[in-house]
Amino acid sequence: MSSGIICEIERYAISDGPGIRTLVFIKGCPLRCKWCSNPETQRPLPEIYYHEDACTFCRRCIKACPCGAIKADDVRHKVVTDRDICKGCGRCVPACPARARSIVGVFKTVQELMEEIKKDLTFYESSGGGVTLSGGEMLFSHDFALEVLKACKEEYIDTAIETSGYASWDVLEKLLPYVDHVLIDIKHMDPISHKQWTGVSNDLILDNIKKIDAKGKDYVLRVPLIPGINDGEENIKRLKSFTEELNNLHEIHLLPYHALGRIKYTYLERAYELGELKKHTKDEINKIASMLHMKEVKVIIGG
Amino acid sequence: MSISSLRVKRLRENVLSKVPGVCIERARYYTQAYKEYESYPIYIKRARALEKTLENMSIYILDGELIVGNQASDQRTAPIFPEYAVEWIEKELEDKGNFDKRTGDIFHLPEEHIDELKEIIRWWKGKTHYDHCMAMMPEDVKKASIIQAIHGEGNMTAGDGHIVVDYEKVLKLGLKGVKNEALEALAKLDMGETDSLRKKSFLEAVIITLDSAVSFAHRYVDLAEKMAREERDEVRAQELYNIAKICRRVPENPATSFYEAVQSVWFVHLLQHIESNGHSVSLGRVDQYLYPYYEHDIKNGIITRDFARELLELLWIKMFSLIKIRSTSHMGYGAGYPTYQNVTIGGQTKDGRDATNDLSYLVLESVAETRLTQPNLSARLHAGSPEKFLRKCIEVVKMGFGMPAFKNDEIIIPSLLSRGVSQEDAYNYTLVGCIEVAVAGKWGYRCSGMTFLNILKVLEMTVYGGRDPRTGYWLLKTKPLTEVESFEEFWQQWEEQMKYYTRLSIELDHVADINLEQLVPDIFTSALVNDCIKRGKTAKEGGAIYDMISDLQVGIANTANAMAAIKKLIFEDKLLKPDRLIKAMENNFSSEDSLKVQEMLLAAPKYGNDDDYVDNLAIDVVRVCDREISKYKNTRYGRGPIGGNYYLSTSAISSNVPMGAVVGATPDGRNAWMPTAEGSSPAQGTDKNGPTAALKSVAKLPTIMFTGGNLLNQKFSPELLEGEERVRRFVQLLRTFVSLKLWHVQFNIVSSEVLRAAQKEPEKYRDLIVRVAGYCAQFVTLDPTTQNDIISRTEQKVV
Ligand code: SF4
Ligand code: SF4
Repeated sequence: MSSGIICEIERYAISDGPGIRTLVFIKGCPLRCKWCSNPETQRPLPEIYYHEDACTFCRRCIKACPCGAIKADDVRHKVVTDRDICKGCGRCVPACPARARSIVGVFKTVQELMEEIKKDLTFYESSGGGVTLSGGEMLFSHDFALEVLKACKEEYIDTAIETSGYASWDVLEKLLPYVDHVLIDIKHMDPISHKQWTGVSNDLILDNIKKIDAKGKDYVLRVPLIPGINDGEENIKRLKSFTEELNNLHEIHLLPYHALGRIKYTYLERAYELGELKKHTKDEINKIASMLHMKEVKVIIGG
Repeated sequence: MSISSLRVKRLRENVLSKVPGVCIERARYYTQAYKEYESYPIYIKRARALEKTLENMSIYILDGELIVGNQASDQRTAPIFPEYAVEWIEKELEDKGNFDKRTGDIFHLPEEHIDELKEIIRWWKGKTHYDHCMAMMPEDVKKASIIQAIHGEGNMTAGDGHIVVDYEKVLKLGLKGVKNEALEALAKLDMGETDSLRKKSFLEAVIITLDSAVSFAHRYVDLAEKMAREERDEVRAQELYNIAKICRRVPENPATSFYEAVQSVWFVHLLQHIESNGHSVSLGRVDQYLYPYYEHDIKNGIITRDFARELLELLWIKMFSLIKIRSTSHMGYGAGYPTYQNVTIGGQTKDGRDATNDLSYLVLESVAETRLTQPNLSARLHAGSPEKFLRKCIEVVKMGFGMPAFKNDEIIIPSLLSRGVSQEDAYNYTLVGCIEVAVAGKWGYRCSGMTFLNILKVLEMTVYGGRDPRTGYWLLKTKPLTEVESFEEFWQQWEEQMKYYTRLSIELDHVADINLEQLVPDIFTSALVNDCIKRGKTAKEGGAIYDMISDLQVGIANTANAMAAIKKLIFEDKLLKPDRLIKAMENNFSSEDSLKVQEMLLAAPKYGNDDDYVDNLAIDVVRVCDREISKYKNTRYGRGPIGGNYYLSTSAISSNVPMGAVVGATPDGRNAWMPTAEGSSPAQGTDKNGPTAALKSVAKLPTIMFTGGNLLNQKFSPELLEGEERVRRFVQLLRTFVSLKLWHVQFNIVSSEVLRAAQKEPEKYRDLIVRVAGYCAQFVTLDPTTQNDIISRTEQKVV
């Protein structure tokens, strides 16, 4: 049985598919969206969170690390972890007396994960909820995801996936029979901008959306609204004409930008490249929503 | 929600602006009557004392009031009940000169009454209920009370309370009808029988109190008429004449309108608060027994819906005006002037149909509008509760004052049935106080007990072999943790201690009960509890149809967590040596090594996270509590009522604070003197997996055994209830609460103040889950900027 790296399991998730759900964050993602609020889910390995403020510069972690990934910064009286060398073995965590280090991501087998998932069966049943596999990009760990989805279906658990849609159709198609709802992102309509802001082009994604649509699957388009990046009239218009061609679209979720994940970049010793963005006002978001409005399609803010 | 009626608004502001006071009138007239009737049977003495008070106490009608009747010389002014206890009053007067220098729950006694009160105290010294309790109390019970493994002061300094009388009967027959029952019973007495003289004086006392209740109402007739004659505003004059008309009819006669019914209920409720000073005297299922009057008046165009709401709001303001003064030492057990006057809505009818009606919604709306701490509103849910009812309840929950609390028919009814309550009565149960249940007009006092058993204290002492490290008392010796070979052996030691302290708690309960029965019987209240009149007995003598009570088990979650830590760290993983643990407990996790120990303890499995390892231990803890308490009978056993036994309850209000304040550091990683967990809720800051996991953990406990009620409080951030989609999930969460068969759940919507407190003391608020756009997070783990963001967002959202 295969295993996946799980960042977090969130129970009573109420915005990611119908009913009361358990949301599983699987680590690993091929995209690098600059606004990502969960950067700890990107690398496909357990990682170290370093809480700089707590660190007393005792250097015990340096000794504990078998890979020599940690270096002392004598000027700032801090340690620095070379993220390319670190394997995420976690040995430096208990070595730190200041609790300045923690590990994100643990390996879980399908069975272990299912045990967690099954704990809220009663809530799924009474609410029409179930499981949502999210990430990272859950398609990145598609073998594992497929096994989890199959196991859920054996238990008659409702399933949803939350994905960027960035995977070959073959991969996606294999999963779909075991998926009840798809939540799929559109981050930008322009392939070049898409590449600039997420690291990959959007052809594959838009193509996959059309195919999902053609299959008649229950799905939702989710659009993160990033001020100054994808909220311009031009992009929204392109988005609108794209959605007009879809036959089975019933819901679009607009996800307003927030910078609440920012602190995690410091824990990961990475830079947050976006800088201060001016948050949208309610009116601005309503305006975008009304631009996207169509008969048969509900536009929901938040989601 | 804004208050629609200006009248209500003014009266509400008025009562809220009152500085709590103390009134000595009741003490004066009770003392006079006790002296005058010294050689009379206790029933007559008590009845005459109530009569004298009702005849002479100050009465008033406030400008704008439509419902009349006051407890003391002013609103929010506590009468003194010297017959229960005077020591604490004397002591506080001696130490502090008045009651306004205490740390919490401050009262002001007018200077000119201090001397008279001292005089009254002098006469009562040595004669009170408390004095008799102390004289009767066995030595080890006294010591256990000093250790605070058990606590029973509430019932030695005050009456029972915790009762819902037969309001329905009062409305149907009037007090006149009840008096006729008493006259009939008197006529039937065979005076040759040994017990008849006693019965006779009880029934005569009943008649005295019923008559004096009617005369009391008539005093308001005179006052209202006099005020009406002097009133220049014609509208108000008419209102006053109407008040006079109503008080002439009720409570003496059956109510003929909704207005009369509300006034009648208020008089009867109020008189119980003058007769005795127990708290949790509750109104029961008002949406059921008031409904016929409401329906009739609405149908016939006698009142509008708005006017009915206004009357209810005025009733809530009246309830809020009632207040009690408690001794400083008992204060912590119910902080914040609480009186726990419960009102129950929703649920099912006697024949099992959904009982929700328009009045249920009106009660909900009116409580939301007045937004006071009284009444304590409970909503009964069942599998077939209408969606609308849940939605309306949630709208009120969102307002963030903790009401209504939800109770679950699907477990409470089976629990009552298992105790021998009839089907009809079980379906018709009402809440009393907070989470306790009873059948209105048929149940004796205190369906929830008054003696607290501090099971975490018992665990702490077990670690030390039975010695209490705080007082040095060593009542029962067992093997300390350092000498046991296995976890099972440690558990056995704890069971031994539990057996012992449970028995002491029962003895303490009996001491209070015997003296309450003999010294301070409630005559008026008993008259309205079936079958007291028929049997010629007060409720305390076994007059009630049902009489089952609980003791209060405090510290379940902490005890289970402590057991889990000991089992795992000491015996299974062998990471911790007993003496290292004990040292860390002794120095309250203050040394470097102790901090490490605490960290290990905190990392051990914690109840409330749907983790079987520790949840199973919680079940075992409850089973031991249940087995021990079930061995005992109360003082009414075999004297008439069905039951006469004890059962479990975790309805321990805010007792988790004072009970925790006597327990040193414990193996669950809890610091010394910190509060224990509330009821069956997870310990503060230890449930980190959200509401579904907490509900699941609590659902594993054998809830059906907790006929005295099982309490679960949950903190919720307002975002979780924002927007239709999330409200729908919340409805589903509540529905699952019903199907999981949990007893009670109350949602406290977290305010920005709480969030600020969490920033300051993160260790206490680890369980605070907030929704951060798109994901949930433990609030305390967020960085300060994010926290501040969330705080400002919360400020906007809580209405
Ligand atoms: S997780 Fe392992 S490899 Fe990475 S820094 Fe820590 S000890 Fe070194
Ligand atoms: S062990 Fe912890 S405190 Fe010491 S240098 Fe490493 S991170 Fe800092």
